Amino acid sequence: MTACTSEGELRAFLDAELPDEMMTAVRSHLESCVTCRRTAARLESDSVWASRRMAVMVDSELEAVPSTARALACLTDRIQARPSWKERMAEMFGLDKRRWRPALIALALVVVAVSFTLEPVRVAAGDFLAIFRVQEFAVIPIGPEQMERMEEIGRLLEQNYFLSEPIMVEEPEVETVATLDEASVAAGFAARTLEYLPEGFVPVEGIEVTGPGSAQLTVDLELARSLFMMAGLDPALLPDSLGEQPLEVSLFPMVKQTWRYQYRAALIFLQGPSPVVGFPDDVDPAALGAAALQLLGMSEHEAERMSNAIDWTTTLVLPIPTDIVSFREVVIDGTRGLVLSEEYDRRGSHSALMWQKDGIVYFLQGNLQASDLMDVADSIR
Amino acid sequence: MTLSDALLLEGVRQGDEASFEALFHRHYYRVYQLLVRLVGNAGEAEELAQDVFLRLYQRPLKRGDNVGGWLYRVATNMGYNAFRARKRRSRREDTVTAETSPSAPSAAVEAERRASVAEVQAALARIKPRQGQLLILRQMGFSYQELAGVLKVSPNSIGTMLARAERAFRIAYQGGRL
Repeated sequence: MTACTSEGELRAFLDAELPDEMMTAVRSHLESCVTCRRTAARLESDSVWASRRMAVMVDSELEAVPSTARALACLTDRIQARPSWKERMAEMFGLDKRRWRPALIALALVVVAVSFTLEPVRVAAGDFLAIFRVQEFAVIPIGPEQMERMEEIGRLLEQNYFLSEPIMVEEPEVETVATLDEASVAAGFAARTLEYLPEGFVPVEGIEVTGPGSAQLTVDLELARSLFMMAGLDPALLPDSLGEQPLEVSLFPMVKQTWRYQYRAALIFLQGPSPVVGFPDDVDPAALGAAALQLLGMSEHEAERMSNAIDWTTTLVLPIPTDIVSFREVVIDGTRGLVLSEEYDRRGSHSALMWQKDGIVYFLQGNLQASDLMDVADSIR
Repeated sequence: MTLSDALLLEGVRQGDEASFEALFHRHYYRVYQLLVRLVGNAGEAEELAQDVFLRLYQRPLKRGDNVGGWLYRVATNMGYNAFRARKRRSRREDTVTAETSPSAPSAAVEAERRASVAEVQAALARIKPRQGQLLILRQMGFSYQELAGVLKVSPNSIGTMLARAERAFRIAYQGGRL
């Protein structure tokens, strides 16, 4: 009698997914082996059972897909109606509440950091040694005259995106708990809350805890280098190691509390350890940072000076369009933080505040003026 | 002659709209089918399917990437996210829906079907997302070769993965410990 067939091969045999000669060999083996026959019967039973249960998901009405041509027309409309680069930047920094996606803020910030500062990402294997963890925030002001250049870079990046779409490797689970204590247990750190809220702000029931997760990005090194060359920068600033394996972003648990004003979510408070990103140890963060600053329109000298003043391994650099968003450094929770604010014409104000303390990054944003938001943040306990 | 996905992707990378449209026509139906199974709602599935292609448009993949694999992976992630978000919402809205009882026989049949779908979705949510993805794609008729492309594994591993996923699904459905 021939050697027994593996479970995987038996399962593939049941689906006739083995090469012809293997199909024949497995069939002949099954005739003589009781053990494998039993295994095959069990696998078949599981398969038929699963397939029957899942058949309920097929609904002939739903399956009758609407016209692909119509779907394509809708998509084309959406593509043409896409906001400008400037609007999307405002959106990324959470200044457009309608499109705010808090659960992905950490990842979005990392992607922003990676996209704009080319601060590359972490540790897929032992080759990746350096770690990037947010401890500070810094702003690169982008004036109206530089916005045009940003638009250009934006268009260039869109057509030649050298980072792949992040693929979620470990999808963060989201659970809703009733109390802060439960949130602390679920998140694995002591979650804090805000004691003072302006009149009319009511807590939304349930605190959301997003579990840990990870995502991968790949760098198209050839493309990234050619973009550098087009921008007059040295492509050698991007070492080979950047393109050799996927870069990983690790997300840690995050706690989200929301308050509403009347019927709308008006204040969101996020807290959690910084996502950890890293980069190969042969990357020179300061040189790369200086190159990114030049891409943003700074002179070589100015970029070098500023880059040397930034610790690129711990600083999340935010390019801020100063004609729509104002910013200032503040002291909050006994540490340095950054407040961004945007004044709407009629709809009021919108502000965001971020700081880091004891390894936890805090992010508070709401429909308030910056000074009112600071009062709220001061009541943290 | 039909152009390969790889050639069309190259076209998309160079900004050729016709290549993007060809990829859309080639993959839209299956992406929609996958999403409708995950979210159980035609309107939402259509919207998500468009989101998937919008991402492809905004950030064309690298040369040589498996477009189909990427589309089905992203669609699965988006479908799972939408399904989870709805589960959270429905927990909050339980009291409202519990009071809505079907009034006609056809509504009763539909309600029963929906309950069965919800049971399947609940079991899928309990097993590993990759296993759920594998079961749904297989049920949609993907070959082992295609599954391997989506999951980025060797076709030889699919049999083992499928056997484990089916077992896990059965145990999860019957309320056992995984």
